[in-house]
Amino acid sequence: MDDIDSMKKTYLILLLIIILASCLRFFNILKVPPSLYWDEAAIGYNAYSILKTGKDEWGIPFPVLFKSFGDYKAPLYIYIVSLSEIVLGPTKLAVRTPSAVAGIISVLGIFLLTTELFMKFEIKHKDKLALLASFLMATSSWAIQFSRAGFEANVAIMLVIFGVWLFFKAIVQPRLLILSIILFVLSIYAYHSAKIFTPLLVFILIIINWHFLWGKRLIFITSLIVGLIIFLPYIPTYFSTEGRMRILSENVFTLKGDAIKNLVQNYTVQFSSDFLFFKGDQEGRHSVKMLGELYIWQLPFILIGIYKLIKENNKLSVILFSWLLIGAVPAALTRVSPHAVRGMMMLPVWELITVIGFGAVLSRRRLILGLIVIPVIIFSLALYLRIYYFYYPTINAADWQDGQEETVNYLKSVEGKYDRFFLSTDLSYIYLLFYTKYDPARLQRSNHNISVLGKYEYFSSESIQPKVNANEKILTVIPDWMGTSKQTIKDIYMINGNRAFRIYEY
Amino acid sequence: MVTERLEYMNTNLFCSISWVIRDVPLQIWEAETVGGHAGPVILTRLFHNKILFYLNNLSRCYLSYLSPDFIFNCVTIIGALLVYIGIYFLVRQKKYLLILIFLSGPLFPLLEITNNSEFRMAVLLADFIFVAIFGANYLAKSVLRRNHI
Repeated sequence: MDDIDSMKKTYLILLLIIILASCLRFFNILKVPPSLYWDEAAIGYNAYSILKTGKDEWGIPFPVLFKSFGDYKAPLYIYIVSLSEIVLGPTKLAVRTPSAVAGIISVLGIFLLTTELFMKFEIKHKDKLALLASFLMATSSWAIQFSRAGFEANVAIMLVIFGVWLFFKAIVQPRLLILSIILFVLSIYAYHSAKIFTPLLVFILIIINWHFLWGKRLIFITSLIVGLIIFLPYIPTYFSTEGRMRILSENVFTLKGDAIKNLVQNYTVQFSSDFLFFKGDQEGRHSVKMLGELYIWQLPFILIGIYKLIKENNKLSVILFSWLLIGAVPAALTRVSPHAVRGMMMLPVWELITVIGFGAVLSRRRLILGLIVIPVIIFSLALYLRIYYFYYPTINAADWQDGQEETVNYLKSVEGKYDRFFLSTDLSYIYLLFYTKYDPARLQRSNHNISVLGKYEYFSSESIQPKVNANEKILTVIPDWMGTSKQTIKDIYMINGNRAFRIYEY
Repeated sequence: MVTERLEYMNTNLFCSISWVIRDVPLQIWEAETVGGHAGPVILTRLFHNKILFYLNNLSRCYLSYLSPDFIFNCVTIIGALLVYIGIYFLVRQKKYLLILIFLSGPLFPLLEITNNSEFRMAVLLADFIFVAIFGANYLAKSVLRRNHI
């Protein structure tokens, strides 16, 4: 009876944590971050294109990689957004919702994973610690940052968490192994970094559980075959120029200086105190830049957790340390490090290690935990939310390309009054396509000619003096930095008050 | 502004008390200007005050000397691994005095105990090497014990 009551209590608290996670992910999601970044707009438009024509913006039917700006985006998130656009249309909300939902499901995932792992490795207070892990995931600034915008990495991390959970669940119910492998493969379809991370993690999991897996070799081999079949269309991307585009252009070996030193530097900096606890990723879209990726109060618990894991020296230690060390590899291989998105696979492990450290203290120092740690946790979360909602949108408006949506919306509102619009390329074509819901079939028929999109024409170096008929009414859009002596009829401002675009009659 | 400060810290190995003090007025200015519209002044004071900025800067500066990327730059990756192994064994063996000595190493550059920056660096290096030797020693002993040699 007591067990049932305690279980009910656990699930009730979990439900409250999930509600909290949903609020933190959905509250004011259309205003903070202030605008769609152009990658998000590209995801939204390609999803719309798939939905309408079964082809991407370049006219390729159901691609495995989306060419987009030539950066060849991973496909899964775009297909998921196309599903959300069935309900929500090609809107900002449709692009951001799948990521937010993935963030919420990850909170549940980390609860299940912690329960499973701690039960298997006989760690005390498993229910309480699993709840704490899910609370940490729900309130993590790292997770919230990427759950509130269309980041593919967020879906990948959700798939990995559930993949690992099912992998260990399969020890009792072996058939779940097939599902686990499927989720791992899907994570590779979700985000480029998983191309490196997931195979390494699966390899480690297989090595650690080899005796069990070989004992159930029929189901193990079946799982691998199913995984391979799903993986098959994606394998060429490991070798093709398109698939290697990102790594070719962004790899660490293109940096000046000693390649090995750069590689190790990029790797170790993912564990730097500055990145983890004080300043975070310095790219404006990746963090608030005033706080670390983890909360500073986690540091003592992380140190205790690491100590305890090394001391125990069991399979759990191997799994968590391997996961953590592999998680830093994708960012280390690229030019920019530390990198919160590419290193995001480390996040669940940091939360688990914190929880293990917490567990070690929980049995002895409950009063201290209650009196000191809880107020600190609440203060840290409040500080983060204050910075995120009040400071972040203002400081980083330009990072989110604020002003593009407003400009396109204004042009749409006056479309009937003008014959043509001359645009500077600072107003990216992808916003025009996305916010005007430009017919994807028409774009495909034009061989992706983006210099003329109906009434909208882009300046180029050749056509800086376009041919104009005498009676034509023309509106011109230029960025703020471009000078003009003309009287503007509309200025577009970013949320921080800086002017983004000037609009005047030609 | 923030990026410049971070770059400064990561490239200049001598984050010190002068930096901590110098940066606080900038942080306050940033909090007041950007957060001016963010609700009542009391909230700005509660979340962005001198005490928190000093604490944050001091701990940030201090921990940067124990950060993996910094130690790697000082004693190479093998050295950094040995340093962390050494710390682990010191904690496990409860050698609190030695731990205290190790943890006080970063105070030399942080508090600018001498004006000679090379000397401060030398103290820090000695600190790392001292713990790395412990790490190597205990590691060798454990390997020998495991192999019954």
